[in-house]
Amino acid sequence: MKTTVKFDQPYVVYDLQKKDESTRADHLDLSFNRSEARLMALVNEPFEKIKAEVNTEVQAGQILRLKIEVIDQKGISISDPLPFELSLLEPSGKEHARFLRTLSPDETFEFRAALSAPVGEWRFKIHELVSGLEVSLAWRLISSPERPLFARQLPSIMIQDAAAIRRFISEKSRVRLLLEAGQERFEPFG
Amino acid sequence: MRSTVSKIFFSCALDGTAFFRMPFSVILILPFALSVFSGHSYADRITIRLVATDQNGERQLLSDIRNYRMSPGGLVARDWLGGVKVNGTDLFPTIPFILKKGSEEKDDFLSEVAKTDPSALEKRKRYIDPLYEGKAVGPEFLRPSEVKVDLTGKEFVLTPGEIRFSIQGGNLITKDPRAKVVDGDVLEIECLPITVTAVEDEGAKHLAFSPQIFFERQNLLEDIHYDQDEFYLGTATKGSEQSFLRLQLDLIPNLAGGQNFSPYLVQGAKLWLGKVGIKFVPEKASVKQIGDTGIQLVLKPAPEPPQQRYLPIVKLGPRGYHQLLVRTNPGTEWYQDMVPYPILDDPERKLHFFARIGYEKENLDFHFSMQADLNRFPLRVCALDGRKGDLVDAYVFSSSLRAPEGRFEIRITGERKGKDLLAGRQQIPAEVAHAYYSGQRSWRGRPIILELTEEPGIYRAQLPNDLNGLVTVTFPDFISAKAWVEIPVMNGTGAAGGSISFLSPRNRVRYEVGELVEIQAVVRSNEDQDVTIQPLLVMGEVRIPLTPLKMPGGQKVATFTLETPALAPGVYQVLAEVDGLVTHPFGFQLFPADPQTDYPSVTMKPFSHETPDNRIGFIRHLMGADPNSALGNLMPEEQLAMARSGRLPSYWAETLAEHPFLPPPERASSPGPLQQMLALGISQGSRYYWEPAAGYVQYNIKHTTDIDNARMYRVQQMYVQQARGFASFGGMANYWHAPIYGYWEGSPPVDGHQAIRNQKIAEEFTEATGKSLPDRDEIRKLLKNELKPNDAEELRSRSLDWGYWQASVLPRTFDLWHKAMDEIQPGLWLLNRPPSGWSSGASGYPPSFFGPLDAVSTYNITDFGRMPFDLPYGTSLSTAGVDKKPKFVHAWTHSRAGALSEALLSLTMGADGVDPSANEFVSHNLMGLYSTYDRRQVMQLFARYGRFITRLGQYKDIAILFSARQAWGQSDGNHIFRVRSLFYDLLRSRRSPHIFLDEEMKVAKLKGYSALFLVGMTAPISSEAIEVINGFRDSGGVVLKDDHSSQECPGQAVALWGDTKPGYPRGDGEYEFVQTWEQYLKRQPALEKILGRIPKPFVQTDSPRRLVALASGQHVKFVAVINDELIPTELPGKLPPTPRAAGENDSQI
Repeated sequence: MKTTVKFDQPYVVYDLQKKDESTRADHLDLSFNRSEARLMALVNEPFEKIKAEVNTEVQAGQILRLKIEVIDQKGISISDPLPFELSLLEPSGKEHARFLRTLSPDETFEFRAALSAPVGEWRFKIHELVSGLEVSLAWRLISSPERPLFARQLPSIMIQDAAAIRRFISEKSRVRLLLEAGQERFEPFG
Repeated sequence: MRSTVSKIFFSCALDGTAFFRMPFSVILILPFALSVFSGHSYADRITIRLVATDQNGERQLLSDIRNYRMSPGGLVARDWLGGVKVNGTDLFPTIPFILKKGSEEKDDFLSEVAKTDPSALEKRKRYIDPLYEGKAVGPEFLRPSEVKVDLTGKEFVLTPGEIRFSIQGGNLITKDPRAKVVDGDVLEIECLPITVTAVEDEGAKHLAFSPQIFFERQNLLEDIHYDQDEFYLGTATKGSEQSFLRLQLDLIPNLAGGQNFSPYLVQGAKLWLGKVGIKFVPEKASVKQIGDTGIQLVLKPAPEPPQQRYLPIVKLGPRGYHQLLVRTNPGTEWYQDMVPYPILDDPERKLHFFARIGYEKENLDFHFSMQADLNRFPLRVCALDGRKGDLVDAYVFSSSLRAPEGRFEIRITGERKGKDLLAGRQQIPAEVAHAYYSGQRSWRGRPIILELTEEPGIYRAQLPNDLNGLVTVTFPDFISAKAWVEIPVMNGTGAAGGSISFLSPRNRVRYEVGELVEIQAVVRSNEDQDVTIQPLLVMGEVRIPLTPLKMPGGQKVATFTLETPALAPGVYQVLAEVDGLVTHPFGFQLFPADPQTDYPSVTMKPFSHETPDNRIGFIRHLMGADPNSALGNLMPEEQLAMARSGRLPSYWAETLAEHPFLPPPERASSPGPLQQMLALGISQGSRYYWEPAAGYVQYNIKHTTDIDNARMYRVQQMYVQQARGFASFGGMANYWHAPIYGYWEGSPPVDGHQAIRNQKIAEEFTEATGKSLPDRDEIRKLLKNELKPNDAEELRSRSLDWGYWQASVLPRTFDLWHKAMDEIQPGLWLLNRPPSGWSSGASGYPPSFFGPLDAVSTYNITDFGRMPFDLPYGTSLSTAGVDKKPKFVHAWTHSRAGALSEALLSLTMGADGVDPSANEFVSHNLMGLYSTYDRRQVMQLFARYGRFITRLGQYKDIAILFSARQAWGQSDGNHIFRVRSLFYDLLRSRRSPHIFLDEEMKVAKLKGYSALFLVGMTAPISSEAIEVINGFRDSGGVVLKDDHSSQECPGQAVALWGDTKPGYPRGDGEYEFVQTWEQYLKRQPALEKILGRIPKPFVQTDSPRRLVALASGQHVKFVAVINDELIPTELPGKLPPTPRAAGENDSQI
């Protein structure tokens, strides 16, 4: 099945189903080839490069912050949020994690490097999913000088707290949740 | 908490001599108020309170110091006696909560059902709601230790203890030193504890036991109930049937002032208890006194019944014929009877047996019985290539090894006594790796040499110094070149002095990174020994020592929390190093807190099921996005459950099989199907919204009466409690069908309480209106003209009131539920009620339904709807005016074409996330197959671009006013249907329509739109709205009204409808599509002409069969051209022939 798509002006058309393919046109003859839809992104100028910033050195257990900006051929920074595929590569080259994120230039992607993560030179591989632009960024993971104490001993937990449950059941107005250690974020409901 | 008031008579005995009937009134403070007819004489109300002195010397209610905890050996509990009576009447009667399944119910509706379908009636009788009638979700142990009683008479005796008191002239008096009168009307009795334990025959090993503690013929533990965990649906175990490791029981003293009152009987021996301790007269050696207040039973341990053990055999090597070899510790003779097939001539192997598995790859579970304590010994499961006899896989699940003197000893005890697979070899090459069960598939071997010691079965190796903790030894040449065996080694000494186990306080083993992991360490050692243990956190090769836990003598359970923000996702184990103690490793799993995609991969599960079979369907449903990562997020017992189901897709079975180890599943207390479903869902969705499972069956939401609402509140609360620890738990997703009686389609009309509900409805109606509910006899007479005119008129009036009242119930209920949800945990609502498309869309206005919600959802069943229009329409309608609240949409369209086009359109209409998962089953209809593969493709597409589309923002094209002030109702020509029809037509015309509500009619909000349509505007429009409309027009916007709007309505009149009827196409299934299409074609010429006057959007296509979904940001525009060819438009429900260009293939996304 074919159709002709007309635009109100010439655009640079990125075909989101065909990787890294673009054309400048004011109309397109589309073949669906029995697919359900054709997905396109339209821009005035082609994307030319990615500017990305990341902390150059991060301690294990700390947060890495990444900012990405896409610049078009006229040097204009694209202010709209764009889809990215972010691959984190360990020093050995093994992919540690992969994220799909939509980010605008003023947003930050955060990643906490695990204490157990191997130290050394890591890389962020950034793939912009509209134009297919790619950039790779190196950063260094250094070991934490001292490991934080993880464990916190608590008084023995009572599996049941009859008094609390009784209060809970007998509450006349609003029934509330019983909160336990680790559930502090539900305090507004507790 | 709603109080239940019931009226009963008690039969009472006085002084144990004469029986008589006496009016007796008891009012329990909590949780029940139980009043009894006060008889002809005046009753005095007093309070009787049972207390104990706590360690600070303060008196506390016994109910407040009750304490239960689970230790590995059994339950450790403090509770107090039941069976307390005054003048022979129970003071604290237990009221059963839980109704039984299968109870009979008399109900008119049921009778109707029975006439036509007796079998259906039987089926429907199964569901008896246990949460009804104000009964708490909480377990039954809510036994008060304080009670108000209305007593008639003067002299009273409280037993056990025979404490006498009197009421004279309204004054409460007692001379008994064991009781005191507080505040004039409270009789406070101090109880004293005894501690009962049991040991093995002359040994020191403590055993769990079921104590027998009686007063006269009354079992004092009968009323005590223990529920395993927090609220859940289940039946409590009576204390008299419960097994305790240690029971501290508070009793009323029966020894005071040198006087012995009637004794308690502990295991048949008389017991008196006073301030000075106990006086115990055991007549048998099997029970003895320990210290001042302790009683110890000396028991001969009963032979432990064989335990069922499940062998997780999920992979049997490469595809082909395999034999299964099972080796266990001593005691395998039984197995010979089961599988008496020696397999090979090799004498080493003759001892073992195999099961024939066959050529087809199968997933088996293999049950056999073994002594419970054999868990501590190695168990090996080997799979052999049946043709060559080669061992292709071998698994070891546990072992006991030790390492004295700085060298490691590896003790192989997995064979029969005296047998040792490594015997005769002085040097055994082996490899060591840092993982026993790590969930990782890569193994880093280091070569070592094992040297045989003088003791058979013991090998010694010098391991690298940094190899502390849990390591793995492999034997590459153990049996054949392919074979490998793995044995965990710990560097604890492994002596038989005791052990430490780690437990999860709530059997919770899944957390998200960043959460606190709760762990209990339980020491099994000498009672008085102070213990310091060094927990280690292990994941693969990473070992992290945790803070040492100091456990002073007597305290044998330590609880600690583990901070996880800096840990990587994965499977962890916690184990401990301590002198003389060896831990059982405790496993938990950390899920990534950051979802892989920022597209809110919301997963809703309408029509939830909880049966195991359907669970697999559910997993499939969830795993569409990435089955491999999903699999990695499963705990071993879940993998096992999946493997055992035999219903896995092939690629999963293979991935599963690559996991080298699955621990013995009986070690873990598996969560129930509900929790498993939730956990799986949570592991996949960045936010998972939970519909009460089986919501369509036993939890189908009834909502008519206050009781229903309260019940639903408790049900939701119960579910939320199970899941609230998960950061990614979004909340409840209530799938609300809202007919007045709560019935819907296939949902069972019976929850065991319909008679109660009918009665309550009648009462509430009468209370609200002062009138009686019209009954069907009356209505029948009315229909037959058998009523007198006045009576008929009166009945019509009542019927009208009944209709109004019904109409008032739903909003009220909805409002109550909003509040309840907000209180419990804000969540998501799945609504098929207004304003989404399938059912009546004419009875709701979005702000009144969605306004208070934190999230909105349009639930559309488009298997019988106007695909793909309903979902975008519902989205635009239901998301109107809700601003920044999260908006999710669920499509239940069967085909990939439908799901995808609906999802794309909905994202550009304001939805944040679409669950295009459709039906959970692989299904197809005339629109095509929608398989797991399809689902995965769709999910992957949205994982990449879903958020991008949403965040670019709606393309502002044409606005349609949807006004609450206009004519609503079922008439085709009314405002609501015109809005809906126009919306469809504009989509067909490749425009991008958006619904505007009265509340949204603001100049700023309309800015950027090309046109505003006003349709079916027969009622007056507010002056404020007119002002906005004029402002919009003055700024260049086009304002159009249809020929059905009033003259006063602003805008230029256009003939939109011709001779068509805007409205709701009649008929089912494809006929509806067809009618929609045909109506559009009739209106198309006029509409195109009208639209020609409005600025065109940035993209146009050449056919109304190609819909467009448009989004636009500052620099980037998005367009999806949707191939409407795959959506049927022609009679009679069959696809039109699709022209194919040469070389065209099957559909691809």
